[in-house]
Amino acid sequence: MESINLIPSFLPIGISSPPALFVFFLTFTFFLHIIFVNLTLGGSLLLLTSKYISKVYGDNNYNMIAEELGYLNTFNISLTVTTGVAPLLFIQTIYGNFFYTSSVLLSFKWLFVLAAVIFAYYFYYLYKMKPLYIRYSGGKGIIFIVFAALLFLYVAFMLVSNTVLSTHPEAWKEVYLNKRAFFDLPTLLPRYIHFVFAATAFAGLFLMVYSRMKKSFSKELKEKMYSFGKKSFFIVTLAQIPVGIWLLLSHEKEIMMLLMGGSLLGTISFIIALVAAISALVVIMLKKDNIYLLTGIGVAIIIFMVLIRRVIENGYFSKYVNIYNMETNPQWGIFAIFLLLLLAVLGIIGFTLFKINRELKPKNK
Amino acid sequence: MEFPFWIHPDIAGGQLIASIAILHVFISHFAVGMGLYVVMAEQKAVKNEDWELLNFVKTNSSLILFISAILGALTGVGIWFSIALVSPAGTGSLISIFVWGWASEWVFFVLEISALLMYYYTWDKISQRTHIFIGWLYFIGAFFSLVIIAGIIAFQLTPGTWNTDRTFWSGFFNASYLPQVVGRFGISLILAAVYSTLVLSFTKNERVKKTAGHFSGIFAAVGFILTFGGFYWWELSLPQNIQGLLSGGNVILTNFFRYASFTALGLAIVSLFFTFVIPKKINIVVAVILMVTGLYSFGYYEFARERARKPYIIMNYMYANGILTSEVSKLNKDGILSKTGWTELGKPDTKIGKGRAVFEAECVSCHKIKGYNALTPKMQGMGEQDIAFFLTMLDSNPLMPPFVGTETERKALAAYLNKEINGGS
Repeated sequence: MESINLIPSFLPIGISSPPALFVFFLTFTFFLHIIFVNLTLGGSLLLLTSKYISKVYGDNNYNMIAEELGYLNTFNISLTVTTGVAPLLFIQTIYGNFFYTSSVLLSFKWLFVLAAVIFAYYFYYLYKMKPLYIRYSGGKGIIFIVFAALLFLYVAFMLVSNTVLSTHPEAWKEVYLNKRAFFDLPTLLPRYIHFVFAATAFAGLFLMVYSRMKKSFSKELKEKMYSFGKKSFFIVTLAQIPVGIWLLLSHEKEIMMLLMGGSLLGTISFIIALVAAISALVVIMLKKDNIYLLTGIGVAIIIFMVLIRRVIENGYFSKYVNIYNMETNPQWGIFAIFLLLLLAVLGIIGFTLFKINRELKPKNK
Repeated sequence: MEFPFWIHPDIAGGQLIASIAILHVFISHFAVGMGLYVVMAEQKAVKNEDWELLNFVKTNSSLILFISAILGALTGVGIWFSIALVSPAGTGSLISIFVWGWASEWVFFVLEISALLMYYYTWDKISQRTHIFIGWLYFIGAFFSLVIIAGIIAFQLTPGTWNTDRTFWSGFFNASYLPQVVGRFGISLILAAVYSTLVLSFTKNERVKKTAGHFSGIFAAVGFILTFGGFYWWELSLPQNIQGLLSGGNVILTNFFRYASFTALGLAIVSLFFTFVIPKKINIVVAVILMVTGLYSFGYYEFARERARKPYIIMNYMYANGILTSEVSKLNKDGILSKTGWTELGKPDTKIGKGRAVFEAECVSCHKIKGYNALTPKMQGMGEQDIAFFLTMLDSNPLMPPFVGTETERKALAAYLNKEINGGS
């Protein structure tokens, strides 16, 4: 098969830990990353929706929801970028030969992701700080969020594209010779829609939780924010069912079957995620929505979807290579240091947030 | 080598990397220095109950947020993206060798960004003690990022015993590592002082201008001592042949290193004069001149350091075009095109077509026919035979790798170059 000839071989140096360790950290840090991706991308779409509702119905509460999302999203963008670096590092360590190749094939379209994030980030700050005349303008700078949302949609599309292209070496030759467009790959569109919808649903769930946490909001605002979040979560999650089926069927049969008996982890994760999503919908329909229960379900869905993603991608890659055959040249000393640093830094950040929270409280009373 | 090459007719890979990298180093070093500047100035202001100075510190911290947390962070990822596009094999090697080092650097990046957000958004809202504590956290995060990345960059030039034992630590603690840390920390302090003059030029309060000006002056003075000391030490830490190239052996390298030193000296004189002697006269023009001089000086140094490593990405291990020194003799026998299926894709099975494939496999990561590092001026007027002969002695230039491949491939490359440059057939 010609595509095999095009896949670069493993580097001769060997990797510095057993491959399973990288798979674990890849999955774990991707989980952290996707939470903030969801908040950023889904939050941007909900921001625009609530701004639209406030315009059409003249309800200022929705305007306040939009402003609040604008305030929060600058943090989310920062944390998305920060948490995104680690999975990018680990994917390059074990699947670099696939990932670099697909990045090169996407070339400028891939590189532009960074410019897009930079611009979107500054656009968000323009919306948040409203310098110069922006605060007196009719839209109060909402146009910047329109741009930012479009840029984030672009970024998400390129990240999905790069992943899909890296898992399909059989398409590389035609893409390289411009005989086939990269977005022609079969799973790309349903996968992208599935991700964007998931982000929106999760951002809706976040709004529900956030509305209960904020003591300074008026009762009316809290209620509207809660029900806006709930509606977004419900509608989009419902829509995920057909989109999910579409995505599932778009995979080759042997990959699809990984989730239905082919892989134990894949099958269990798939069942749990499916049951969790349906139970979330039922809980809301029966008006038994408990915020803790829904949060638990939401996080569980993300965890198991991240695992499913790993199983699927591993399924594609293992058609061509077995990463567990990679030569290892273990470097445990620096790994131990990394682990200690990670725990220490997470501890320090937690401690500092706790301290800030305690010192901020007296002023609220 | 084994990867498809990323070719755009107008932009050379090296230029693209350089334009992102120069911007990034200018911001990232500032972020380290300004981290220390801000927290020390805050301590000073709190101790002296100087609330006007505290306001000045606050503005400086917003510079870190808007410049370093956005442009700095993303151009950092940008270097990574762009080097992976231009030289995937080299990037993959550096990632693989130092993966847990990079991961540790990421931990400090997380600390840096989290602390920065906490620091900026809690001004005047929490106790000064806690706020200063967060300021130190930010500085620690930023500083240790530098401490780790400096090791990996220094490794590329002086890998030392890594070439034989292949362990993380012998690669990381290499000969030019500590000098790099000292020199780069010095640059960070200078840049903090330089950026602070930008804020100072908008400060109306003359007393603050004087106090903060002197404070910046101390940063600049210490910074210059560390920078000049660090980079003198750096030069001494290099192998003799590279030292020779930097001090007269290679015109471009020597000039770049000299320009870096002279502009830094000029920057030292002007900035120390303004911050210590006439801080009240600091205005936007002075600030911009200092910034531009700093950018040039730093840019020349980074170019000199990058070029000093040529023809390698990792000294004595991998050439700039991704070919390993250990595989040269095998490729000379089997042919460079045996290693990759990419460069022959879509090209006719002719001598010229093969030649172009060899060009893309071996030359294009650094050279273009016209434009950046152009081959045209070097080979204009030569015949096909002359070019083919010329290719046998590429490495007589200490900054060039040898031609790797079979004789047929060399002749094909010569035919292709002759056609492109001299219009031969």
